Amino acid sequence: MLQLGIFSYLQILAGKIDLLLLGVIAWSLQKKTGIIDILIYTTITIFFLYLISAEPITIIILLYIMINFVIFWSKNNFQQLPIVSMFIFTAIFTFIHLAIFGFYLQLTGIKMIAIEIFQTVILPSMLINLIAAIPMYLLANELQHWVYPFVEEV
Amino acid sequence: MKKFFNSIKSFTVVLIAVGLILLALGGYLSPILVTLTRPFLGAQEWISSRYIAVSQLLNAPQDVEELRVRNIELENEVSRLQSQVIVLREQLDESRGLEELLGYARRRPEFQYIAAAVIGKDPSPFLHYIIIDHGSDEGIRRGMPVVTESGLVGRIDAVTAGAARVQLITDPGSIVNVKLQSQRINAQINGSITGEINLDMVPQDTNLESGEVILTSGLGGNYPADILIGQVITVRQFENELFQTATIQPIIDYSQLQAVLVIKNFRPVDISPLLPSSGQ
Repeated sequence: MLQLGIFSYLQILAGKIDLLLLGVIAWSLQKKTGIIDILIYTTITIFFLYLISAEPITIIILLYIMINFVIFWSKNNFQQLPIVSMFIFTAIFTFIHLAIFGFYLQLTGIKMIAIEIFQTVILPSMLINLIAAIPMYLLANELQHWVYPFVEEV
Repeated sequence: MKKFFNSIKSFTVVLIAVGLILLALGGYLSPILVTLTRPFLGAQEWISSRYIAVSQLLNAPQDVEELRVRNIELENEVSRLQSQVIVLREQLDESRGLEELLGYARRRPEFQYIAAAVIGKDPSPFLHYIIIDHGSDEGIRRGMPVVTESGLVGRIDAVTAGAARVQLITDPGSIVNVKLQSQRINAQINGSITGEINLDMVPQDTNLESGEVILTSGLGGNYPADILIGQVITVRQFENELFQTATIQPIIDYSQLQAVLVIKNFRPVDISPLLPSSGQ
């Protein structure tokens, strides 16, 4: 609701913050979250996006499944600092998301210039998402302590 | 003899008393009275001041507490009134907006309108959609045109029971058939990812100038005719191209939309079965 009512109005050029994407990345990066929890949260996010956005649902589903599995794999294999991973994955997945959707719009016949898309949409969106990445990670971290209190005590 | 002396004594006492009274009334005894009463007055003042001090000592904390409580009550009252002022101002702004929408509805009585508030915006940076707070429960259907008191906003793209999504004419996927007001030339406008509206399909021999007013033409059956869209601001004419293009300054600030009107009794015409397919 914050995304819909407030953050969708905050723009740098044509770039917008994507709180839902940041939320999924931040939640997936938390140490104590298992794959089931991540998938549940992602499913809720996809459902919410399906309700509010005109973006094709197939792109959303593919993107979020990719995010889940890439982050889960990296978390179990080489991740050392989650906050650095938050930055890296925010930049990568914002770019992938917008590039795929931009390409899809080109295929549907909408005239767009690639360099214009990159300058006015993708780069500003990456910037604004990177700015919001740390607060979102910290919020998810706090939520994790709240959701898994016993695990922490042990 | 004794009686005589008693009479003189009584007479003297009365005389002295009358004399003293007369002297007192004449003010001649004041210095003496002041001198005599000064010690008493001093004592009285001392007692009185100590009493007041003790009384204040005993009562003052209660007064401060009462004042503190009263102060909090008044501060709460001020806060309540301030919030009431804010609410009333918002209601005033809203009623002004609705009044303007009502004015538009009265100017176009052939249409039935549903007023709706804008409650959100599509999160995707590529898309220009808004969410409104009325849906199929109020009779809103896909394809219905959406306007404000100033001009065209877009059309309903998706509907749920209590809300609907509106595709703005600034969306890159939006195409609207339009006409130039002064020349009755048909053209079309397209949205873009930056939110600009571009006029296209204007024949090269048309004298297109900045300031030209753009209205919906009604062709294609998606929008009613003669709804204001905006004005031409920049014309781009190249000899090697088939048509002129131009940038439109929309009449509406789409980033500040708060309330809209959905035209309820206009149903878009689906002409796709009439269009020749590419295979034929």
